[in-house]
Amino acid sequence: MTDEGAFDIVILGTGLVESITAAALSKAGFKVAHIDDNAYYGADEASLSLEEFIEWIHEDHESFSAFSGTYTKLPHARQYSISLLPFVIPSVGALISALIASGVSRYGGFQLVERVGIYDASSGAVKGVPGSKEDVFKSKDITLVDKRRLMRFLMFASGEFEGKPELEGREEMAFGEFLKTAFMLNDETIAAIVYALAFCFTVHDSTLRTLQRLRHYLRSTGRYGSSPFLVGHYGSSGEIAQGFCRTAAVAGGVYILGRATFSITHSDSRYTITLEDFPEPLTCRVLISAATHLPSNLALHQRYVAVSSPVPTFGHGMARCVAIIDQPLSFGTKARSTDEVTDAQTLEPLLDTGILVFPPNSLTASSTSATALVVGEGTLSTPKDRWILYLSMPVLPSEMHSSSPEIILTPYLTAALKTSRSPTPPVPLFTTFYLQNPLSTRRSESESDSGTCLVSPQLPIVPLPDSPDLAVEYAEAVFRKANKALLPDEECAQFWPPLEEAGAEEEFF
Amino acid sequence: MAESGSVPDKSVQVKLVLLGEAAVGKSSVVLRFVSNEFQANKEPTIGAAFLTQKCRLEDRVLRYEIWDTAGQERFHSLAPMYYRNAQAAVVVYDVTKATSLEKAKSWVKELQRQANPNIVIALAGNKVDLVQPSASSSGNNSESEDEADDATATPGEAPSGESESLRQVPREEAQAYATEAGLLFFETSAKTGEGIVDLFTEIARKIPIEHILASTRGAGRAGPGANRAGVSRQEGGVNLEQGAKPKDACNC
Repeated sequence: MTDEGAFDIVILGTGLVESITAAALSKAGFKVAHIDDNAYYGADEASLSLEEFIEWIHEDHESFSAFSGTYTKLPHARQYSISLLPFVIPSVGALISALIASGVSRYGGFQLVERVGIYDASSGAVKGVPGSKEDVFKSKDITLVDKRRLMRFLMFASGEFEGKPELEGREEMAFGEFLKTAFMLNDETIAAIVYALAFCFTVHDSTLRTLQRLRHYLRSTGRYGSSPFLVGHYGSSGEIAQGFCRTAAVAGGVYILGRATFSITHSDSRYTITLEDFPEPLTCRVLISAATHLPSNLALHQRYVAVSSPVPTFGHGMARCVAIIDQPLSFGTKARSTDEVTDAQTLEPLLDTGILVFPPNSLTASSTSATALVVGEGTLSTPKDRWILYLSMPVLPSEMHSSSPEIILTPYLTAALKTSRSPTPPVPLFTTFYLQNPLSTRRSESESDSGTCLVSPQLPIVPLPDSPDLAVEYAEAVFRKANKALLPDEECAQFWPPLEEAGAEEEFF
Repeated sequence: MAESGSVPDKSVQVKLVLLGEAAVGKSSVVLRFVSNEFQANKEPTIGAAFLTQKCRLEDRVLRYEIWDTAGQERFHSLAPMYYRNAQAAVVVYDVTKATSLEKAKSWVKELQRQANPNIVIALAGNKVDLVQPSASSSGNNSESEDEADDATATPGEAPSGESESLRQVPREEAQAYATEAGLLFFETSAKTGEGIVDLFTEIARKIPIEHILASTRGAGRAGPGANRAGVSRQEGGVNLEQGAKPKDACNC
């Protein structure tokens, strides 16, 4: 090709969905240019250093608002990787498969989530949540009868429950109600299952869909260790996006960051993209854009890539908090057998990665659960002896009206800090609160095959373990549409072609 | 870490990143080192995630994991991931192109800003075969590693006695800059192999291996399940591929 600026596909925005899409399309042999007006990779899912994060707080964002807090720069600011989309990754699922199939897993490191705890409102204590059948078996907190019932439920939930009598007629029942009627579990166990094993936002989540998510998590247990979940190194979300972008580049994709888009025009079935400060315009046949990077003048071409979400999404906003602390939290001790208990206090290593769940109405009158995710030096996201605490809680419009993310989340932050073993809870060195806005209502969600400006689906607000796999499912949908638009008569290429082993590498692995 | 000070037989993994202007021969330098090959008129940038090569040095064995820029440097869009954890960097320029040294200097600055403070940086003046009268005089110099910089490398036309005139960066100038900036310095030829092994061996010598071993987290930090299959070779984390169930791992 003589024209260096001519591409099959130009992708706007380097968010997780777009980055995975870029890697898949480049590997399938298309000529891809990937552009972001930000100077950093990852868009709304970036991992930022503390300096970058403070800058980010002061900028305007379509997806985030209502910022408050005390944000001063700390020493070693560059050693922090703060995720704009904190999540945990189920060990079995679309993201892990994509990381392996694409070879991106070679770039990044991952860490097991060590602990999941649940806040018990009546006692104000944090209890370790048994993550597996072994844990339940060993636990000293559960009576024998409850243990038997819980085991029966876990066997049911990790198996092929569709069509089983326990579920019949109860598919749409609220999940907590189902646990009570079908398995006669007690309230405390139910809360642990609904919020800390299945990560439901509300008590109303329907039984069948929750069971399907829970099965996914339960089957993730044991693949890499006793915890079903992983956290990526260096801020996870943004680092994973960078890995997919690098893979796209290795396959020939061209990367242009930090340039504003000056104009996009369409003629002779090609788009021409002119960037500021860039010598030559780029042209392409198919344009893929994140909803937040969408050029307004191309309304006629836009085709929203439709996806059917298997996950219940929360249609309103999410209050978020990022705090940096200098003492470890504990999030409850791990479930152990009795003879181990005496050593628990002294031998328990400092918690590096953990999740603490607050069921609804734990601390404030709320219909949704709050979640705290803590990550430390082991995830290579913080300097030594520092931890990042991410809090999130879905909020209803009525709550937002009379309140702010700071007011909503402060009691949860205080309670999470109190889990520290030191006599005085840590005072955060840095705190910010903000709101993740609900998705903009989608315009013209047409399924016609004529448009060549594909709008990739935006990640909705979902429970902590669900965005990673969803991002891959969305990317695959965009990948298929782009394939069809470019090669309408051919069978769609494989989402990830088999990895070719570099000869030099084989010798040593 | 061990009191004896001796490094165990196990090899130490060292991430090495390449930087430099387009067409100075970054990939060719690596190819020469890794497989002792040279390809004339190589296409820009190889399509591998990274290449690995062992380097034996007295009592220690280093395993270099060499990362190419994959072209992401072209529009200043290298991801932070690229620099992360890099213990060594080779910044390449072309001895027949003065501007490429200027570019190399800006990459050195970028490394000092972005990369880990203990990183070992080597400056490599490549294509030195083009400015050596004897060795290449019988043939022509057409195997300049890329077409993009032909303007400087008028292949075949330079009489052997004048080939030194192709040189735009005097060795002394680059050496002085390297000394001042605290870099290792070599002139290399990916084509003839000159200086390549020396370059990587000297880097290996300078790498603070004990420091790397000490900072590599033991399995103790990996949390529950650390002793099971799936724990990675580095940093006590999880290696996704090792832990993969057979059905996912099988490529056939």
